Amino acid sequence: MKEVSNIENFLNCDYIYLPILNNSQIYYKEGDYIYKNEVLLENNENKVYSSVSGKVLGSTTINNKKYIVIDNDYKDKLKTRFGTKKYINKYSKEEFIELVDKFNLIDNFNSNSKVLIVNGIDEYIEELNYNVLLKEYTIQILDCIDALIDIMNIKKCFLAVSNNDINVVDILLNNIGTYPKIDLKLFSNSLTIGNKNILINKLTSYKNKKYPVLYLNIKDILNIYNVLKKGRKNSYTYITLTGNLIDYSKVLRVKIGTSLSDIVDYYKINNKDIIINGLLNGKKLNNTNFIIDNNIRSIFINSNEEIKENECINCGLCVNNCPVNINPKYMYFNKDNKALDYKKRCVNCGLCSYYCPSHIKLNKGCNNDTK
Amino acid sequence: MIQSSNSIKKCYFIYFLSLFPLILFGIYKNGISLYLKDYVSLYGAIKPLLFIIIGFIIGSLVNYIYEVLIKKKKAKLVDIIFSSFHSLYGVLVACIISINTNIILFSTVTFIVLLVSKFIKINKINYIALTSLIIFFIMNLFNEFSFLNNYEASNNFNMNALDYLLGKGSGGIFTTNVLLLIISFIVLYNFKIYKRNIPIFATITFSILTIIYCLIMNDISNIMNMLFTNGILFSFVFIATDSVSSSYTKKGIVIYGIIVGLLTFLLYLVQPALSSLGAILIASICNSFIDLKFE
Repeated sequence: MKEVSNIENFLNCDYIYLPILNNSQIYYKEGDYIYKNEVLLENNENKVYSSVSGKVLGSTTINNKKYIVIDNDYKDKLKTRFGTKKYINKYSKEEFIELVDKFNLIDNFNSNSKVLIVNGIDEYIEELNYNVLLKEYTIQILDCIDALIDIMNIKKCFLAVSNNDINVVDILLNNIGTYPKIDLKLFSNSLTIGNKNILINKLTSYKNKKYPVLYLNIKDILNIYNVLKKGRKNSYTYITLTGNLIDYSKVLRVKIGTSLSDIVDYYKINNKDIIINGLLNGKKLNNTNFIIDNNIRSIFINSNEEIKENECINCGLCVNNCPVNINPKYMYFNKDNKALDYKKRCVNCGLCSYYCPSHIKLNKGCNNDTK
Repeated sequence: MIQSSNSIKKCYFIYFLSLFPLILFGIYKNGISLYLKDYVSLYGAIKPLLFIIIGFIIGSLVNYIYEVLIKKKKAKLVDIIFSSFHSLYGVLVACIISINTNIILFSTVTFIVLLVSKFIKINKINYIALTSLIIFFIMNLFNEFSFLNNYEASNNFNMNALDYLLGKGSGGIFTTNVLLLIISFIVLYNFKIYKRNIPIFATITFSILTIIYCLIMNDISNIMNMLFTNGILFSFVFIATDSVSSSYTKKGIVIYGIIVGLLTFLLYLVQPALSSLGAILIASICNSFIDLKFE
């Protein structure tokens, strides 16, 4: 794997595109000045924050999705300043729940969780986001996990890390002694261990299974840290820029709502295959009209390659390699209740497609399709 | 997107690699050695090799006709040849049939069955077994079918275990050398796509039943003959494991192997020469059902 040094900022985009949610209440109108971290709109489930300050230019449609367009003034002006908290573990559980609700910090948040799993392993093996963040923000991450244990009264906490980067392991081992409540779990390099469901299954023993699990990744932890410390969410996300046409893999700090075409233009990438979120279960883009949001983990820039699908040869490799013990072939070729059940259980890790000698995209039928 | 190194081309490479020693031995046993002993002409000496080449060409031709002429697919010739296992099927049919088979009969039947198989999309059956069985039945219509070559037919042998291991038993053109077959199995064993549990469970089932049968019939000397002749082990290793027509789930593969072993034994009591092929053909018809029931 090509080495990555540190995080590269890509914060200089002229325009920011933020999604217009269905059935949402909108708090702006065209021409309004928007501050950074200001709530633009919200519905029952979600809120959309501005990642920059600037004027609202209007709305546009990209790939059948509606977006608000904001003209970035590069000032990152904040409406109100919260002030920095000295100790982030001084929050009460009720205060924390309020913050989670206010900032939409955690998906499927269960306030009664007693087991905390922090995933420090990137979902796809060539992604480097969590590795780099663990190296760059070791103390902040460990502090935040420790604070969460105290605030949420967590009984068992695991920090899962890949052992393929000795520097990260070294830094963590040097610091973990100060945080006795965090159980550091090292995993060897495997294609799917970074997958949420697979990791939860690995770490929750019979004893822990009776407790509800709170699952967070390193990006979530940094977000929570920012909220607890500064009273605001991160306005950017981290993505790995890599692929066989990239000399050195980079981790980019990108404003949420940046257009992919800005990144592609900046790095002078032309006429190549662009794949987002890994080569196992990622999505190949037909064009660069794509907006970076919090769900985007990586951009792969690869040489144009066409892999032809052949007929299924019934080899069973998909079944034998499935980490959740379903039958991907059955799921792909059938539409009955059994196939639907498999689709529900599928974690869309992409291993079946990876192993398929006929190059059939078996995980295509999965319900948990990459967003 | 990335793919593992598994591909149909790789399957071909591994299968041909594992078949290679058996093919060399078959060419020597059923061709060159007969020629040197003046049992056959020069044509007879190269006949085993001709079967292999023709089998491969017919399989490739079927793929070409289907992909290029019927489906109008544009691809490299190599990709078309290796787009399915049909070329390998042609070679395996050549391996299992008798040296006494007429080449034109072999070519015609193989071509027709393989071409028809291309159009059957559901419930795939084992076309290697089907083709070989049709050839055997047609041969039987004209004269009595036999696996024995000219030399074996004109002499009587009293064979021991070592003779069978070294390929002196009767069987298909390239199927008799048990020692080389074991080496082939070892080569295939570590190949991920290869369904190793099928030959293992088929052999265990067939061996146990054979031993019990011979003990009951008080005919212990026949055990070796039952196990090592008529290409039974070759069928278990190469034909029953045909990826397309066999079960693919973990339990299904084991059950499939046991069924193949059991049916082979039962059919052996009726017609030894065709027992394994008949068993594989019947088991392959049930493969979807086995997968569904024993997932």
